[in-house]
Amino acid sequence: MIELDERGTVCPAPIIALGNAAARQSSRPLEIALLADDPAAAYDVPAWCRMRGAQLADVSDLPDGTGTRYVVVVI
Amino acid sequence: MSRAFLDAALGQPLHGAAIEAREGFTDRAWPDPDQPYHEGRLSAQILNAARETVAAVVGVSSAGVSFHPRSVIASLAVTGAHYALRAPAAQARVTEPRVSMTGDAPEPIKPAAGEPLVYSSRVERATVLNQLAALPGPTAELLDVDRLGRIDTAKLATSLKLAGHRSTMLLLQSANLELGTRQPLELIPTLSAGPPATLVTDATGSLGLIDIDSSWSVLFADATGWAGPGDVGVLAIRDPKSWRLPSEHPLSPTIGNVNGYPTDSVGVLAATEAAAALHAVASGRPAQTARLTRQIERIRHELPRLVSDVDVLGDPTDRLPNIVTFSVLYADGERLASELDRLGVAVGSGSACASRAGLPSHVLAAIGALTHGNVRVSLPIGATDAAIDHFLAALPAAVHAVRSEAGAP
Repeated sequence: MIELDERGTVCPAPIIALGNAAARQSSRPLEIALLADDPAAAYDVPAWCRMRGAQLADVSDLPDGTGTRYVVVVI
Repeated sequence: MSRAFLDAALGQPLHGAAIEAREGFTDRAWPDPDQPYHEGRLSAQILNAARETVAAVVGVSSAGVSFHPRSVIASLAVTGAHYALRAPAAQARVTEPRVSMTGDAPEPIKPAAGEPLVYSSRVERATVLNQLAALPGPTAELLDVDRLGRIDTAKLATSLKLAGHRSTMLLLQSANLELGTRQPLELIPTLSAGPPATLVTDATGSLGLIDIDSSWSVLFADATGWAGPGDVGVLAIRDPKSWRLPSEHPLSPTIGNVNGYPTDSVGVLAATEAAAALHAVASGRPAQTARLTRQIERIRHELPRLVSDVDVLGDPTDRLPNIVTFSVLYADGERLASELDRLGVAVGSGSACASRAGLPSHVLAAIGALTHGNVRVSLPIGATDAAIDHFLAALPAAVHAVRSEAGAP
């Protein structure tokens, strides 16, 4: 699984990072974990999944309270 | 270089009919219409003609029409309709306004003696939601919307059934100003199990452009939508029993009351300009509306061909004729708007990145859209096909520039 730490960046940077990671890796299915603290990511990650035909597998708050972890599966 | 102005929702050139009215009435419409001397009576006649003109478009008696500054019409409509529904015992209580509830999950409505229940939607304008937050009594329940931004009438019917015979106020836009999606106001009267709910309708952007179902009790609209003067709004009240301004309302000292209807709070000339523009736009239908509808249809059709990863929002057909919003993946909406501006095109950006306020647009969040890369195109009444050509020609280059500089895939 790829992990992207986008804590501290704001939209659309976390989604661009997600898109770039999905574009660079050709293996499918591809699991990506995105760490983000931008409140817009809560809306934009599901919307990205819908537009790109990916699946949002898990959303969880980071235990240290520094943001949210989104796990997406690119098919 | 010629410019394409496509942000009419926030203001558009004054309609030619309003300019004519201003020139024609400027030497007669200045006296106070309440004064009993000759000049005042003449001014009052001009004001009455403006009321009758608006009344004919809106579909109420002219006594129910009044003109106010646009900044206060939402407050007048919402506060007045709510106060009229409160039982006398509740009206006597001066209640502390509650803190803002917009964006939060609705709490279950708790019964409060004599207080009406209030329902609205998640996609009302922020200024309207702020009025709801300031009302005394139980917190308003904000109805969810579907992907197009349309309220769920089945859920509303369930809520109204639970409300039983309690007095109820519904606050709904006739169409959404970001998405264009029309709300099914015509279904509202069929949803109540008990006495009909008082429907307060925000017709901003709709009045004059589309038919508005007559199910409302109180209606308000900014004149901006029909190319009227930018600082005027219209309030329409079908039955004086459904509207009453509480004495503690800040506007209560300045707005009088004639047979239960509010008096005007803008000058006669401004009211006349607003009425003339509304009449011209409403009577210019359907040809004008058909042209705007076709222009937006063309934009909606071309967008996915011109730009990759674009989400065109709102209802494609049951909508305002002149508005479309779309989201461009991997683009900052504010940067996109300024790039288009550089290329001669003015559009609106509803993007979270644009506001930098930390919270995305509540309308885009409610429909599950991307909250970045948003562009709103709202056509002025007289939009030309050349302006649409200009926009469609500029967009691919603007999107490419913004995506490249951000390192998008």
